[in-house]
Amino acid sequence: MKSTHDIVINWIAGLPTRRGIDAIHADTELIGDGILDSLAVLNLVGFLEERFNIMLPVEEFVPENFRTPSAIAALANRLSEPA
Amino acid sequence: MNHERQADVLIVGGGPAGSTAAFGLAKRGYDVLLIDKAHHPRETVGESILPSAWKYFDLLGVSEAIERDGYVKKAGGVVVWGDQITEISFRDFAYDRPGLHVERDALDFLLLDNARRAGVRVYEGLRAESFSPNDGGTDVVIADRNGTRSRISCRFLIDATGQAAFVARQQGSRRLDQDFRFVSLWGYFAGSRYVSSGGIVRPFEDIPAHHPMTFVSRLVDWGWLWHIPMRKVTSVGINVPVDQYRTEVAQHASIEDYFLATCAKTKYLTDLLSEAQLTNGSVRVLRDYSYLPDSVAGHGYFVVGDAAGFVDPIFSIGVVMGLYSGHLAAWAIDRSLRRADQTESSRQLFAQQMRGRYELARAMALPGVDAGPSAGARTYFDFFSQAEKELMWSAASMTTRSANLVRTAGDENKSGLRRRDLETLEFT
Repeated sequence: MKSTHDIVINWIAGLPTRRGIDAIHADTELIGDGILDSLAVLNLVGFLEERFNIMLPVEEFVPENFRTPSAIAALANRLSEPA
Repeated sequence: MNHERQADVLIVGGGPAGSTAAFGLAKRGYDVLLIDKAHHPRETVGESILPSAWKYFDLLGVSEAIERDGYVKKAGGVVVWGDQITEISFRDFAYDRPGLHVERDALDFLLLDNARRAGVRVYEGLRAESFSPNDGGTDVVIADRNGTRSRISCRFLIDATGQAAFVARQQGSRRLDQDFRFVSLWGYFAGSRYVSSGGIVRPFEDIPAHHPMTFVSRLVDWGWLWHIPMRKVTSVGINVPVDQYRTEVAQHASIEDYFLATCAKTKYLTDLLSEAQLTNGSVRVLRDYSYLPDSVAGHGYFVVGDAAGFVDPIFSIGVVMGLYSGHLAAWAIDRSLRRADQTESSRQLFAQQMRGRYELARAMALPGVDAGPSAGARTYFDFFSQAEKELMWSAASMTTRSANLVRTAGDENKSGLRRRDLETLEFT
């Protein structure tokens, strides 16, 4: 089974900025480097919600949660845990 | 239009924000109806567009068409503010495409036509009169030019009516910002010279070879002006406090007379226009009052573009903000319609982003007044890339208006400034 990490990195590598998958690491600065902008974040939220059957509460829609692939994977895992 | 009584989404207003939302929803398979009180193409102002617009044009699939239309490419901006002349170039901020100076009738028509081709049903010459939320969504009463009314029943209404602010007016919540009570006054000139990189002034014919800068200057009295060369003419406008406008107009033979006199007494602008001809009857006036509605998303409606709040347009961010808000509304409505339990959080998320957007724009434009700390603006700002942040810091620092942005968005040590100071404009 693919890890949450790999799923996130795969999705990011498919963005129109066309960074190869080798250029995306667990701690790549996605927002600072302009790889993930406010538009792509919306699409990413839609993808994560569908893929992991989760719902993002509005207070989690903050830049820190989307800064790096690690942060995104941690967010998805956290929201996937049964309450 | 008796048979057109239902839609998943009704959009009122066919400017960039409305067309973007319409396109996004039609592409996701929803039945979308868009009405506009005007018949496009129609005149409007707001011709300077930042390079970040391209990523929205890519999403809408219109980038090639826009390139083909050959709009004037904008290389950056030159600002004269008191004794200081500064320049910023987009290429210093990691943009691979330029800004644009566009005739808005043409660009807005292209975006609306693009929505139409994506399956949006577009009806012109119709305006929205009132709306009433109900269990399943919203009912909207619309009227044609003869006053004939119909009722449209939709799941969601999107208010994209610009300064008319349809939803806020019905709710009585279009709050004027007392710090910004301005009037815009503008006209179109043939044969104006223009400012290019390095502050070098060139004849109009040089535009294809040397891309223009948007030229902005403080006026002798309170206020500022813009100078935006386009494909055939140059848009020149002044933005002055409403009290000053009333006093000055009373002392001149006509509004046009006041406009030309102001252009003539403004350093550099008078030289740019020395051999230019004002197009007959092209002078327009618009109340540019800044305002914010109490609510930009509620049961059965979303508000986008200028209808969701407007501030002094000095930083050319209006169109990009409109494109973003249209995209965001389409996203939020889709998320709500796919899962009803996400309706509330989609509405909150939309409102949070829009509030942040307004507060950030206000912090940038507010002249010399402490905008106060804003968590919303900070969150919105921190979704920008480093390059975009640096562009905003640099742009704000060109006027005396940077203090509020720094307070709101950090960079106290100003390490991100990329701007050049110029001694003078060079007339060749």
